[in-house]
Amino acid sequence: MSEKLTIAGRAYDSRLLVGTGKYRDFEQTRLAIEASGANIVTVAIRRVNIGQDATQPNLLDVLPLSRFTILPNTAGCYNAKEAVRTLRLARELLDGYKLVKLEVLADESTLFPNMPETLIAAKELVADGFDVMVYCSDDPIQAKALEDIGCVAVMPLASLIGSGMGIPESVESRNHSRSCEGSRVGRCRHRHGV
Amino acid sequence: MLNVKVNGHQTTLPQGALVAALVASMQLDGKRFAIERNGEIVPKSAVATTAIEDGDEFEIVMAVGGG
Repeated sequence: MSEKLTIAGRAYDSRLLVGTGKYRDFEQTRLAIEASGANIVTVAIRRVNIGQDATQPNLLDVLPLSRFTILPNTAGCYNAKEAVRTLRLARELLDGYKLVKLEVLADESTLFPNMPETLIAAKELVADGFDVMVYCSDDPIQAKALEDIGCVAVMPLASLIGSGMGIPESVESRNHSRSCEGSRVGRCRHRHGV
Repeated sequence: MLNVKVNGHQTTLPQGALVAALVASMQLDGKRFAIERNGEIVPKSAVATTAIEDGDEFEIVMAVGGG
């Protein structure tokens, strides 16, 4: 596909967003991500382990900000407060970087989003100057609400983790595409490591 | 001595220590990290001047694989 993906005023050659979890090591992470051609790479924000070996490289050494758009995300957050806190720390860690991925989960097994908390967090983050890409349910009304708040991209749930079903073209997603015609907000399908 | 908690672990630091000393003790100089003191972010520009007080609680985070 030759059309560029534009999010928050920046154009990307690749429309693929990739994660950095579940690789064997950083070398494998780097090789896979380079091979994918993705420009946008998600990372998680976690506590530093006490007593860890400081001589070991860290993820951002192998995925430099000069080459990739690093997208900190709130995987593992179950309420708005935790998610906002995590992304404020991410912004500090990444020297004021504004583009973030918000996801507030409701359920550990399905990883379904908690939409009431997602909406609260999105409002707070947009007011605080973040460019928010947001994981949401496959529901055009919720997606529109997130656009109205000022999120730069909505990322509706695409497929249940581990279901092997791929991305079903649901009634909701067809309606979603229709309801977003003329919309300026970006849309990305969201898959949780399936 | 100052009794503080770092990422949930109790530890001690010398009286008068600055946040920069904590960062150095964790060998984080020159690395990308963010630090919270009692729930408030300590900006990088303030790490070298912020004094640690007895009972402070710190959270120090880095970017890791995930998402």
